[in-house]
Parts: sequence; structure tokens; C-alpha cells
Amino acid sequence: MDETRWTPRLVNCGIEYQPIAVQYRNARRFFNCRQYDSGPGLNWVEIVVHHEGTLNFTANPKDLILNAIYEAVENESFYPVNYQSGQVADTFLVRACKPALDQLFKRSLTLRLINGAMIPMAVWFNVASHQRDHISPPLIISQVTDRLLNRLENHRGVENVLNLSKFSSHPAFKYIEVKLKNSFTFHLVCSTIHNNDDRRRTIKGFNLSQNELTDLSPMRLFGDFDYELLDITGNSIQSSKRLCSDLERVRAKHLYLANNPLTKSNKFPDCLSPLINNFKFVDGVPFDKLHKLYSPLNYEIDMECDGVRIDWTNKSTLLKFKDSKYWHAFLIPDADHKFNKEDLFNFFFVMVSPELSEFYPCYYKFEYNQHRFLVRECFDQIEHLVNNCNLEMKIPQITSDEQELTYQNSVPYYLRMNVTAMKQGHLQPKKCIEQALQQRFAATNRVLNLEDFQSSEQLENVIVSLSSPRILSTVLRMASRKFLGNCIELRLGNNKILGLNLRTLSLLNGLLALDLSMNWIYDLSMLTALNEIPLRSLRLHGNPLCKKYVLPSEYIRDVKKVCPGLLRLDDVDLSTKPGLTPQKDFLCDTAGYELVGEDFLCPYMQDFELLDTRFDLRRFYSEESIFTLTCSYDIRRAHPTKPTNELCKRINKYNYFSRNLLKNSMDTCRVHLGEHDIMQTLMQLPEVKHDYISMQTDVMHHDEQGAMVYVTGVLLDGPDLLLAFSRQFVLRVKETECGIGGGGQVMIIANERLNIMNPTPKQERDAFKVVKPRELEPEPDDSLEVKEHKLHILQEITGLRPKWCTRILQEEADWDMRSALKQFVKLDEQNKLPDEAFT
Amino acid sequence: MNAEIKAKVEACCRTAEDFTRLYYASFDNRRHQMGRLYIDTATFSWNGNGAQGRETIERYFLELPSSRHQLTTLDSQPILDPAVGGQTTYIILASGTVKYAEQSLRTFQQSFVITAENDKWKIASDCYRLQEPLN
Repeated sequence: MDETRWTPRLVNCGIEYQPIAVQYRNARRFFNCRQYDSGPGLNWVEIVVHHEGTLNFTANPKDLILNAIYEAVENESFYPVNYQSGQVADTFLVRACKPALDQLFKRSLTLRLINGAMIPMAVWFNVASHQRDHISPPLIISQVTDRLLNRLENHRGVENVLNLSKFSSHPAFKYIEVKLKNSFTFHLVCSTIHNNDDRRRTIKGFNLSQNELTDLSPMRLFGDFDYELLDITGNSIQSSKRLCSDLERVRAKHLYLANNPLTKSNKFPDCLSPLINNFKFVDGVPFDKLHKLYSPLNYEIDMECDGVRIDWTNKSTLLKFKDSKYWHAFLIPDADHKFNKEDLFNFFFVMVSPELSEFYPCYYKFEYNQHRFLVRECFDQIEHLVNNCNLEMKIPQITSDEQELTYQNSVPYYLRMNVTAMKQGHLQPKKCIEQALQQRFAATNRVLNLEDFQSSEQLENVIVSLSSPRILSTVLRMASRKFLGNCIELRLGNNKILGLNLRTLSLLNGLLALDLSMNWIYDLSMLTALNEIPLRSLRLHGNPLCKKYVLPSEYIRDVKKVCPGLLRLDDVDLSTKPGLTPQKDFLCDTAGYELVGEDFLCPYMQDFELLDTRFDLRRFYSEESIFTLTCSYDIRRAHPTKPTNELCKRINKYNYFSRNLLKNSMDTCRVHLGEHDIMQTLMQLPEVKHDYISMQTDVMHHDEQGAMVYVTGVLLDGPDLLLAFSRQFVLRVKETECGIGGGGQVMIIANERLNIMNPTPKQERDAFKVVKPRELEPEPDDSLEVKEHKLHILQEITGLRPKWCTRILQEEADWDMRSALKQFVKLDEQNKLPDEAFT
Repeated sequence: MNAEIKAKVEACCRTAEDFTRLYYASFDNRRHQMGRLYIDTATFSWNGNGAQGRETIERYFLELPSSRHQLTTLDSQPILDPAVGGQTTYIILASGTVKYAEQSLRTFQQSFVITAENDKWKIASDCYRLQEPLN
């Protein structure tokens, strides 16, 4: 025994270094004590960790021990050499680490592991004397750092990133333990980088992921410089305060932070706000959107292990969660990403019961080939989806005769209940709705505009499906509570609404106008509740129910049965002859839209205007093309007294080509045939300018072979002669272009006719005027109601008593809000408003 | 223009005159028979309000106020392009004045595409525009 004790044990440290000859002849052993008389000097120290096999079944005993040691030495310099794991004890060598050893002695040479276990250590001073060619951990670390500096990498799309990820597993550290978790080591690495002036300047970013980091203070060395990237994902960063102070002067375009304990805290992401000027993006999300896009799915929940899975095998387990206030996750597999978000919820809400609690899917996300979202506090719905709908999402399909919907296909899905607790900062659907409503109300014209409500910024992370009558009721009830009788117009267009029930509508009794356009209302019977409110204007267009009517009059008659007091329907004044109101454009099918736009009509009309470009129109004609012109411009109608010579001359340019079978019944001379003849005629006509805004178009026919497009409007001949015109085109598709955008068609004109007429007085009045959208024009309405409303608003803004409001608004500003406000500011500045003027 | 095309154009002129005479007489006096002038799948646009199919079109006519049309111009063209007019197809272009019920005189224009169906000329598409809307 003694023999072996005095025989040196050679500790191998790799071929570059001389082995360390460990022997205990002059060694001093310390165990379970707090002090030592004289220190180890520069000699080697052996540490024996007597775990006695208690850690044999833990995942990584070495890591447990090292972490406890790093914890104990508190960021002092400490590099274990030749760490050997044993059955009852682990051993390693260290040297030149007096401050660290002092810390260990302070703890009576006892380690407290993270699992609570207390492990004693024995420390042997002077087990070997230090020699120059012994291994030197700080030197190796500097060398490795320098080598990495010479091999900057591309990381997350950024060139020249220093890769310090998983630093401890670098092969050069075979015989030593190096962890950036130890901030002395981290500091050594950082100063090595900092001192390498050549390479330092080329660094565009740092990849520090997966290093168990808790402390980033060594990064302060790199402050006041604009980097591209700082990746600290997968570390152990917990304190936002510390992070913010460590990175106070560190700037980078991208900060990657995911998978740190910090991101799972209540205060995330608000706690990062001190860094808003340091980083543009956090985990790829713009800093200012961080809060809005924050989702527990990104940071808090691991879908593999969090919560309890519920699928068809264990439906009965569900009952356990009856009173849970936690979030529950829905996971709907979709390997090919067949459905987008909108489709998915359209289909999903078919299963959601209209009778049960409101169902607000939150934080929707598509990842790992699954649609994922979270819900809370809707146990009855979940129960219904599990037990009645069998955890299957049915996919509607239109039958081949396009008459009916069938639900033959279905997608099974599963749940994970209680994936995470409700925390401060998590979204609350009702609050989001409240905020969205606030944004959607315009007090000035008392319009609550809920068009495409889902698109509200405030509803980005929550689905508020107004197709569910209960949710619609809730939203409207919240609105009525908020705006009371103040709302006279409600716009609900584009919300997938299926119908309105009576209870909902009774809340809206002050309503005069309701817009339900572009919804899913398939029958007027869904709207019978409307006769309870004295609506004056209703919009229903774009609902499936409209397709049931071919004639406007029948449609109007049926709607009026539901809503007898209606004055306007779909913006058509019902006091005029129904169905006779002109519509600007008619398309026999929507595919005709491109035709009147970029494919044909627009370029044709534009090129026709100037002789230079008109010549290019020859591309539209073939040898079979026919062109005729008719001019019925009556000069006497334009100038009843004395037609001027000049006007006659100008009209005669058209008259010369004019063909009118009523005057010359077999006229074949003025039929122009083929490209050459047609171009000759066209080039003799004056230059013109079309009024595109008042132009009316009719697309009467449109298929793959050809189309018929008619246009009427006004044009200016020269600078001052206004003419009414119409043009008729029969078009043939020459070829279909498959270029950018596809579907573009090259057209040939088979037949064309131009007709010139006198403009009507109305056309003369309106020509070449831009019509402003109706809503933008202030209505000069001085009714009592409006005045009261103005008073109310002024009162709200200024806090003045009603008497003073009336004085300013009526006497000083003549009911003009703007000058009333100016007046108020002026009086206030001159201190002419006594305290008693304010409420 | 060769003799063959000239003959076609002339035939087209005759048809246009005969057809419009019949058409406006029906429009003003025999609305309930208007459907007969259209093929089953005809397209109709009255000031941008569309109607499709013979029956719907006839019903649309019955909704209109009584009318009195007076033509001032008439023009017509045969569609020569073989890819478009597989069978003989003409376009007829008429304009004139119209008085609806008690309303004042207005200018209108109308474009027909007519095609021969069982030896009778029938309208395939019909586009009607008033230069100024009714009150």
C-alpha cells in the first residue's frame, strides 16, 4: 500500500505536454475543514470528489459535480485537468487557483449539488511540482479562441460570425474542463478576442449558444459597436435585469434569445424594454412587435412533454380538467400544409357548438406540420369536440353537381390539456375585443365599423369568429355597452356572419344603417330579427342569399318584407325605380376584368389618344377586321342659334366616315375592312383625350376564344370640344401569354365600331372631374341632433361645463368644431376661462 | 372589298333594318313577347344591370316603365373572323331617343349580336345604355 503511495502516478495530458507525475510523498490532505496553513503555491493540487457512487444513476454525474464546483468557486479562475470519473470518487488536478480554493474551503470542502445532495471533497496540496512544459489551460483556451477567430463562420445568414457555441466540447479541451459558464473563463476568451486587433474588426457577430451561460458581463468588452448578430440561445439566462445591464452598450441587429429560462418568465418580453435601442430584432421578430407577437407557444410550452395528451384512446381523462384555468392546446396534423389559417378555422368552426361557451383560439401557429393553438375556459366546448365530434375536423366538399356540401373527409387531431398556466401578459380575448372595438368606433359620424373584424391589429393573436352567433352577440353587447345609443351605423361586412338573432339586435335600437355585405347569410329567414329595428339603410350584397334572385325587384320586395321601413338597399335609393339605377360596369363574368383593364381596353384607349401612339394600334387588326364609324352629333343642338364654321369643320372630320343605314341603307363604302384600310381611317381622326373616370363598360361575352366589350363615355377632341362616344369591340384571342402573372391574352379586333354623339348637359358638367368618395365630404348638417353631438364632443375634449361649451360653439364659432377648438385654446392661453367653467 | 364580302355586308344591312324594326316594335308594344327574340342563353345588360337567360330577360323587360323608341342611327357589321363567328353572326348598332313613361326624352344606344337559330334571327347578347339615367 505504502509502496504504491510513494510511486509517482503519471497523468497523461496529451502528446504536446509532459505528463504530470503525481505522488503523495510531500502532499498535504485536507478534508472537511475550512482553512489551511500555507497555500499550494504554484504546485499541482488534486481534488477528490467522494460521491460514493450516489450519482451513478443520474444522467450526467460529471456535469452535476462540475456545475456545483463552478457554482462554489464563484467565477474565480479554475481549470480542472484530467478529470477522471470513478465508482466512488472523481478526481482531477488544478493549479494556480488560490481564490477558487479559498471558496471551496469556505464551504468546508463540501459541494452542494443542484439536486440537494451534499458531497465531501478531499483536497491534496503539492501532489506534483509545476514544470514549464506541463499543460496550461489558459494557454489552450487562448489558442482555441485564436483558431476560431481565424475561422469565422456563416451563422443564421450572417457572414463572419465567431462560433463559440458549445465551447466546452471543443476537441482541444480533451484533458481539461472549460466552461464559459465560469465567467473567469468567459472573460479570458473575450479578452483574447479583444486583444486580437486584426481579427476583432472582421467579426460581425457572436454565436454563444448552448454554453449554460448565466452571466454575460464579459461581453461588455464589445460594447459601442454595431454587430449584426448576437446568438445566446439555449443558455441559462434567468435574470432580465442582469442581461439588460450586461448588454447595456452591446448593439446588434439581431439578438437570438430563445430557450433561456428568461423567456419563460411572466415578465417576458416586457422586461427586455431597456434594450430596445440595442437590437432591431429579437428571435427574428422586430423589437417593437415583440410584445404583440409574443406567444407562449414559442417560449413556454414544449409540446412534446408539457400537459396531458388527450386523443381518442383516453377521452375519459378529459374530465379531470373540468375546472382548469390553464391553457389547453389543440394540435391538428397537416403534413402537406394543405390548409392555410383561414381555411383551417373556417372548417374548425363548423364543429364548434353554437350553444356552448365562446371559443377563442389564441396564438395560432403552424409548426412541426401541425396547426397549433391555445384556448382557455371553454371546457364545455372541448368536451363537445372530444365526445360529440370525436376529435375530428370534418372537411366540407362540394358535390360534383355543386349543389350540396358533404363532409366525407376528416382530419383527426389531439389535445394537450394544461400545457401552461395563465400568466400575466398572456392575452385575454375579451380585452383584445374591447381594444379593437375602441379603435373601430368613429365618434364624429357615430359609425361602428367592424368590417373584417378579424383583421384588427388587436386581434392578431386571437380568432374572434363572428360566424358564431354567441361570439357575435358578445361583441355587439360589448359594443353597445361601450357606445350606448351613440352608434347609428354599424358595418359588419366581411365577417362570415351566418345570421343575426333577436337578442343581439335589440341592443342596437338606435341603429339607422346596417351593413352586412360580403357575409355568409344564405337566406333572408336568418334576418327576420331585423324587423325589430327601424333600419333605413341595409347592405346585403355579396351574401349567398343574393344569388337566389335574378331580378332586382324581387330581391327588393323580399327584403322589404323583412325590413319594411327601408329607404336604401345596397346603396340603391328605393324611392327610385328598382333595378333601373345604372351601374357603371357590367361584367358577364369576373374573368372579364383583366380585359377591360390591362389586357385590352386600357392600352387601346390610351394608344388611341395621340397619333404617334395610335399608329401602334395596327397590332390589334387582321385582314378580316371590320371598322365602322357613326356620327350623330347634331351641331344645332350644341349651338341652337348659329353653328360656327369651325365646329362644322371639326365635326365633319367624323361625318366624313359616318355610316348610318337609316340614311343610306346599303352603304358598303364606309365599311373599312382589313388592317390597312382601318389604320388609314383611324389616322385621319383627330387626337382625343378620354375621361376614364366616367367611362362605363359592359363585357357581354368572354371565354377562351373571344370577348365582346362595349364602352361609353366622353372624350375631348382637341382642347375644348367635348363629345360623347361609344365603342363596341368584338375580340378574338390570338394567343395566351404565360409570362409574368400568366393568363395575359393577346387580342385581335374582329369588329369595331365608334359612335360619336352630343354629350348631355350632365356629362358636360361631370366630365374630367374626379369624384371624391362620398364619405370624405363633410356634411353640412345643422340639425339639432348634430349640434348636440358637437356640444358633447367639445365637452369631452375640453372638460368645460355645458354652458361654456354652448357659448364657444354657438356664439364664437357658429357651430364649427375647428374654430371652436381654436377659440378654446386662445381663451385658455389668455387665462380667460375661470375655474368654474370646468367640470 | 371583294364581291363575296360585299354581298355579306349588304345581307347584314338588310337583316339589321328588318330586325330592329321588329325589335323596337316589340320593346314598345309587345313586351311579353320579347323573350322570343333571344336565344336561351342570351346575355342582357340594361345600363349595367345584367340578366342572363331568355326568361329572366323577358321578366326584366316587364319591370321597365313603358317606352317609346325612335332610332336616329343604325349600323351593322358581319363578323368575318372565322374564329369568332362559326355561324353567320352580325352585330347591330343602333342609337336614338327614347321616352320612358312620363320622363323626358333621352338618348340611348344599343348593341346586339344576332345569330341565326332555326332560320330565325335571335339575339345572343344585347347591351343597352341610356346616355343619362332615369329619374
